[in-house]
Amino acid sequence: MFSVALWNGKDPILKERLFGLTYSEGNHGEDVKEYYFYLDSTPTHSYMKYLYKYPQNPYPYGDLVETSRRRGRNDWEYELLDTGVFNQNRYFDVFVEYAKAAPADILIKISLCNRGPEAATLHVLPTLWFRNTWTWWPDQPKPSLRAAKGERGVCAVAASHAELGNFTLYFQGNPQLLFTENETNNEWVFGTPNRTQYVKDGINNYVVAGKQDAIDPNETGTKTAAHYQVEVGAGATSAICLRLTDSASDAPLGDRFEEIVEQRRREADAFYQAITPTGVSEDAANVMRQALAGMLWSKQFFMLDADKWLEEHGVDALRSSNRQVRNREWFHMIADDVISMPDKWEYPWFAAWDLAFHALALSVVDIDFAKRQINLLLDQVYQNPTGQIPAYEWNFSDVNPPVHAWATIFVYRTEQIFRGTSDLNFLKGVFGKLSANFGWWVNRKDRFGKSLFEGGFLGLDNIGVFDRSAPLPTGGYLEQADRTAWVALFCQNMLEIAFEIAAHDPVYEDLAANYAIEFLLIARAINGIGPEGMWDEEDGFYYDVLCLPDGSATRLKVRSMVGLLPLCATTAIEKSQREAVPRLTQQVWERIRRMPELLESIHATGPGQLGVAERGILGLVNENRLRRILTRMLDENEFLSPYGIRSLSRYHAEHPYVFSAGGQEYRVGYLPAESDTGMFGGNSNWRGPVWMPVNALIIRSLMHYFAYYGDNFRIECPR
Amino acid sequence: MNLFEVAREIANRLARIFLRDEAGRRPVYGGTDKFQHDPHWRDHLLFYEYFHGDNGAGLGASHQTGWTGVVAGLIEIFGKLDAQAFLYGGREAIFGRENERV
Repeated sequence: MFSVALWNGKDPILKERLFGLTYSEGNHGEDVKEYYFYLDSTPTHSYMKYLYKYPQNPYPYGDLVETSRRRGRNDWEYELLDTGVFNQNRYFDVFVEYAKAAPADILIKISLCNRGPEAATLHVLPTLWFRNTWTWWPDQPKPSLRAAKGERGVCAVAASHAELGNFTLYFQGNPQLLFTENETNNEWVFGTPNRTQYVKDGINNYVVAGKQDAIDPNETGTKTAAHYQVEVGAGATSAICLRLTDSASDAPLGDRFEEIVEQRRREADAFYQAITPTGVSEDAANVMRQALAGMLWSKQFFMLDADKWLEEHGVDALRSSNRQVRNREWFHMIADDVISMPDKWEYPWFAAWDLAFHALALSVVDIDFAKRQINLLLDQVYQNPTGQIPAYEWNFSDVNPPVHAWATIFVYRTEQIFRGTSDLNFLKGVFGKLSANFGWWVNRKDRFGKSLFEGGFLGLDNIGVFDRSAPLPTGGYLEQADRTAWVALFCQNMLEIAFEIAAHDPVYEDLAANYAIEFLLIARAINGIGPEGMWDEEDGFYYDVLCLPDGSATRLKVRSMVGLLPLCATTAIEKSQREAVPRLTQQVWERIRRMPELLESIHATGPGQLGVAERGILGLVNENRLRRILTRMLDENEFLSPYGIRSLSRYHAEHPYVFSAGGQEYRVGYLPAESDTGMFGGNSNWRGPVWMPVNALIIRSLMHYFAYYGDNFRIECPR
Repeated sequence: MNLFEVAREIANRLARIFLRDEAGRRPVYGGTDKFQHDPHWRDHLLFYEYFHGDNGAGLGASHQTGWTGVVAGLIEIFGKLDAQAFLYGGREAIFGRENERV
């Protein structure tokens, strides 16, 4: 692995990694306290650019911790800029660029810009190390690093690894090379003896504390850094060039170096220019490019052998035990992949529904990677034999909204039109595994076989009246409008996938017909009228229903995203899609005709109900309800903010929803900023803010409705 | 508005979180002056986890390009799509590149 460590000569430690507060230290949960930016990347990583802003004065580690400790849930977070350490611009902009001359030949340019009013010195330590595998798997060969002389005496380190092969890292100039082992400093951390004299903070201890014996004089090890000290004038810029390569070169850092970097830069410009529609403004194009660069930078190697992890926590997965340890039913899991992460600092682990949204965005630049990410959690080393998809590392058994099928059909269509090929094998593989997952949802999460999906965490953290991942204070159970809507959307997506495959393989026709019926059953359940239904005719909105142990039921009248999601279970069906499977279309229609009551509650569909261009439609919400929901959604005093659709209606600012149970009052008020409770870590808030993924789903559904209605449905917006 | 126009209106509002307004300010950076005015900060974007329901300021995790990165797809789709092409060209118009638009 390669990274750049820095030292301003004043901090008590090297800046080897980004600093942030842990969950218990921050007043709104964990938070990184650094300024860094993923400025650019191509999908092949032929060119990447990163920026880190490093203060010249001591980094205020203590102040950040102390001040944050004094702040409460209702206070703002204390940010690095608030500390004043960037005053007078006394900081360095450290740009790191990576440009590939070949897949395993990487040019690295580190540019140091002094933004301050005076000259300042910066220690720069480009660092190369191996992930420590030898402590965990002692029988495997240990990799090595050693000082070497490149051609014409260029300063270099030779790296050798049994699997990765041999690489050389060349350094510009003549920096001192420092070597140690990538081993935990047990003595310092645990008070137990070290395995070796040279531990992973050896380089830090040598540079910062001058400990001469902290580095290995033999110039070998598993972690190494070159020590540069650079004085940069006020407003000036200095650069350091490096090259990590598996091939020999006469002049690795010679004249061609800058030329190659510049060429890769221009190719990145050309790439983004090609994918950006001409109607997009320069400012919006920059947003688009940095968003995609950020996604490409947020790929991360993730390794977890669940069986080994359980073993370390004293659990034998195959023997019963009273010990409560999470993930014990996931002992089959072995993650060993590059994964698109939500946030490499705060969420450096995969999350199932996040990943599906990532695939949508990534498909703009890299369809193959997007497809692999969709397939990943459906692989047998991830997906549970029960059909469940792992939610996230801290509890694989949690439940995330099932959006994989939507991502699948979206990415499939993108490829179909972009490349002119239909990857049916991809579709078939995913369909089979998602069928198992759909079965899991229906069998495990629908306690009374009513096709209403209750209980459990389902994203949207604190959106409900009660903590949705804990037992209810009232007893009984909750029938959740969003959960039912999610499954209805899942069902539609599966139906669409099955239609697509059935056009080439009639074996899938029966499966497709089953999904059609399943959708009608779910729709019937959510749309029931009377005390059990989630639709409130008076308010014109869907609410969760609390079913109490005495058999009574009551709607929890919180106007939230939960009630907008039924809108999202909408799919327009092209005439060409039906014509490709005439027998199937006929079959579905026959089955529906035998159960006309199922059709009462959904959007009008079938012969005689076709829309523009003879499109059909499957939707949970009929035209009347659609209009009533949109009336609230597009009201700026309710859901429509200047920046998207809010997660909770602003109506609740003046009218908080209050529910009393067991002598306690549960209150949901409009809260547009951060959470004021510790619920779900306290750093997420679904009681007012705008969240991108659910907005994307709403936009999707509006496009499907439009495809059906065209200009025949109009509404005032904003209201 | 028809529902295409409503969808585009919502997408535009989402993109506006990150775009400079008439006063040159990006709502995502709220009241943080340095990010609003300094030339070495103002065009570097952070993709937060979620956004203030009234003023669009970024909240929560600051590098969750993750699903907030979906905004790139929205800019791309609505940058190339017009309602009539979508209505009569259907899905091809959404998924195709601009120059291949039907």
